[in-house]
Amino acid sequence: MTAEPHQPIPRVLVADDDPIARSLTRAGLEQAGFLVLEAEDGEGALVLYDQQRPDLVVLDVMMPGLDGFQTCEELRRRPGGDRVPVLIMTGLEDIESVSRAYEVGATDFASKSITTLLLSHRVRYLLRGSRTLDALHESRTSLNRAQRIAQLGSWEWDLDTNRLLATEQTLRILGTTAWKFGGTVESYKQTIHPDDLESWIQSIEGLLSGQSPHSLDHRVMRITGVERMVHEEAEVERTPEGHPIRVIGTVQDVSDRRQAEAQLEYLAYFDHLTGLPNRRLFLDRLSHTLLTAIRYQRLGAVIALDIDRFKRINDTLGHSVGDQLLQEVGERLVQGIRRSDMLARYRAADEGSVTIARFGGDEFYLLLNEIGSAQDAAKVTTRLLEAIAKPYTAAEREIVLTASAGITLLPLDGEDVDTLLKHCDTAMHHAKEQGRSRYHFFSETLNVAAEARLELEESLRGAVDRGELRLHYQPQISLATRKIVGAEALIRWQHPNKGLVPPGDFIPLAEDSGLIVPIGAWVISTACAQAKVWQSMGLPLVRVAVNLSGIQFTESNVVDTVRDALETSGLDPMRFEVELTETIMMRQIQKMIATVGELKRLGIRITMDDFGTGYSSLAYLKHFDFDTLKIDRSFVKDLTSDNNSSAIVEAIIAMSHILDISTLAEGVETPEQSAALQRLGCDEVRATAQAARRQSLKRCGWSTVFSSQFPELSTEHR
Amino acid sequence: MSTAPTTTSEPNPQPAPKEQIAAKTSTQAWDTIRALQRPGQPDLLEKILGLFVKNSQDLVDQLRGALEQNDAQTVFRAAHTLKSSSANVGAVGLAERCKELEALGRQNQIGDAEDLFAQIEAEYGAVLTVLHAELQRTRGV
Repeated sequence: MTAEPHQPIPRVLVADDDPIARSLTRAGLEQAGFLVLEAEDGEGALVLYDQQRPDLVVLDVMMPGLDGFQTCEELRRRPGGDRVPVLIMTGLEDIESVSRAYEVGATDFASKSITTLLLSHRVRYLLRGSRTLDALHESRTSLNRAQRIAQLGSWEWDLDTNRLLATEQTLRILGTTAWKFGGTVESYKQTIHPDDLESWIQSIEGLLSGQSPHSLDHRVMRITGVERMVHEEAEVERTPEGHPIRVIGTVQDVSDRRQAEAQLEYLAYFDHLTGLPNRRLFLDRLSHTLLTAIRYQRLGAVIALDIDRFKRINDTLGHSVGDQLLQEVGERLVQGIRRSDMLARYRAADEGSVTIARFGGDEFYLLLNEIGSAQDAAKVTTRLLEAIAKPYTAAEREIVLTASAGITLLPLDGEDVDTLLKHCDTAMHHAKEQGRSRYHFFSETLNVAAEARLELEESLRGAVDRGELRLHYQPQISLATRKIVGAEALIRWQHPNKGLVPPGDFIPLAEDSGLIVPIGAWVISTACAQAKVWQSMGLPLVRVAVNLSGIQFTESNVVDTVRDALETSGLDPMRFEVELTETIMMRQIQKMIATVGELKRLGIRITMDDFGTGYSSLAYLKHFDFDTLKIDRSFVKDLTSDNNSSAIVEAIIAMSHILDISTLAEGVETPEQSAALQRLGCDEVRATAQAARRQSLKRCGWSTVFSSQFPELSTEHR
Repeated sequence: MSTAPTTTSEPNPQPAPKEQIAAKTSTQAWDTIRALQRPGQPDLLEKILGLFVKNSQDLVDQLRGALEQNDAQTVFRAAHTLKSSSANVGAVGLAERCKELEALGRQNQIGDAEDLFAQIEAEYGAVLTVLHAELQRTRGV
């Protein structure tokens, strides 16, 4: 007997404490063509195994020290020891030993009484099986190795059984292990990111139906929680009839590639110093915005912003300080835009509605996709210039920077990118020529308007201090008693040069500039003080009403202002009333409900102004605890001529009475209107000053008792 | 590891020992060992018989001591080894006696094993005589 040809001589390790048995076994195996290594006991066998790595191990069960079973167990735990064939020699009659032999991982067992010839055959047979296993293992190992090097995994999905066989590399990519991976298509799906599962399923369905190849990038969720991006391709195997049997797929981890691509994209489109979009991305977005603006007739703006004398910083403090400052400027621009209320409402609709870019050096550009008016662009620019002008700390010193800006409106100032940017630069240089730290529109008309506004704003700023503001009072009259029950305070600006400026000309400006806050506070305190004066004069005048602006609610604590005014004047809160418009209510409705509740707790009255003109909703009436509802003058005007107006007024009054809210009609000018309102059940009316003067209170049958003591009613001046 | 000795008892061709106790042996076992002899290698039968002669006395001594000390575990192990070894050299009778003693040792019932051990010692002496004779014969050749 000889070993099989073309193979190295197989080496067999024989462990037996009985030298006679060992010698005989050795002789038998050597005769059969094997090379034999001998060990006297289990420990010796393990040492010899580690040194020699025999192709097969024969273990006697009964040995001192480690017996055959224990030796086998030890062997199986060794690296590579899990695959070497182990033959355990047991007593013939000993069934227990046989099952124990398999438990400890023996490949086979043999009775000690078998002949050396039979043993040789048995050994040869075991070696052949082991070589097949080794070959299989080798091929699997090299496949795994190849897949690992290629970072490519593969899987086979049997459509009949739904089993999915995945290679080690696949499991590695999916971040799971053979133990945890269930081996079905369901367990495979579980590794796919939930948001990508649907597209995966659709793609596989397309593949199975033969409509589309399966080539898909999707994310996987590893057990560790790490997310990776994989690229997957699959083909389907079919019967000759075209029935799909099996899907074979490859999976590749492309996270790093994706990241590299993202990095490249970042470098191509973003400024490395500030992280802001660069010129290229800005121009992309600008051309897109231009097209949209032209097509949908929208107004946008491009603003060029240049730091004044920035070269001086680089020259004196060095480029690293310069870079640090530019980063800070970029950050302030981003923050400034974020805080801008004006843009918030546009941004809500479109996240990318503002682009801030750095073109290099100290040149920054802004693109506002959609604005309401040129004034919006001016306001944003003003804020940003202010933000930039706040002191910086760099190189352990305080540094002050200013910037100049040019504003172009699109598409008005240019219908292509180049023209717009050229005009924007022209405007910016104009701002520099005019003394820096300012903005300049490209359009001269806008500059004139902006200048006029600026001038008016400057002048309004001092109006309170100079005592140029006035309150005029219009009487509110009870239709039931025909007596004056209250007065509504209306603001006027007595401009030294322009004369009387109507509220419509300066209130929006006051709101834009924030001046409305001090002006509003002045109105409240002045009205309270006046009401207290009338009260102490003994006039039965019930109350004074003032109108509040929405800005007072968002930019100041109107509750504190009212409380202060009441305390300072000592006026009974019942005699004070604030009027709110629907538009104010609409904004931040939850916050408004809370604020109105606080005002009510001060003890004052609340009126809803202009009811019926805006988004009138019954829901507001329910949520806000109003005392009075004001019927808009537009309904009153047509009251006696238009049945619809009459019906609306009647409905408003009826509803208010059900809700226990009193009604007050504005703009009553004729006795007919007054009579009609009384007939419909309206509680009070407010006469226009003109009406009061023209027709006299007396002619209307209204109280004249204190008209003589109420000079404002006739003179309109305090 | 054992060859499978037949249990036939053959008359010993060599002169009978003085004590007239015939060792129950099988020469077929020797033939099996001879069949394993590879050309150019030391004589295998001589090696195996030599190993038996060299190691077996120690096993018999172990058995005696263990029986005196009532150490069933050692009796079991020593009887087991002596059983296999004697079977391998064709000492069928000795192997059978040892198997009985091995069973008693395993069952922890060695209290009445004195007679059995006496038989083993007697049989062992006879086997040694036979083996010595064979060894002298082969060495003499």
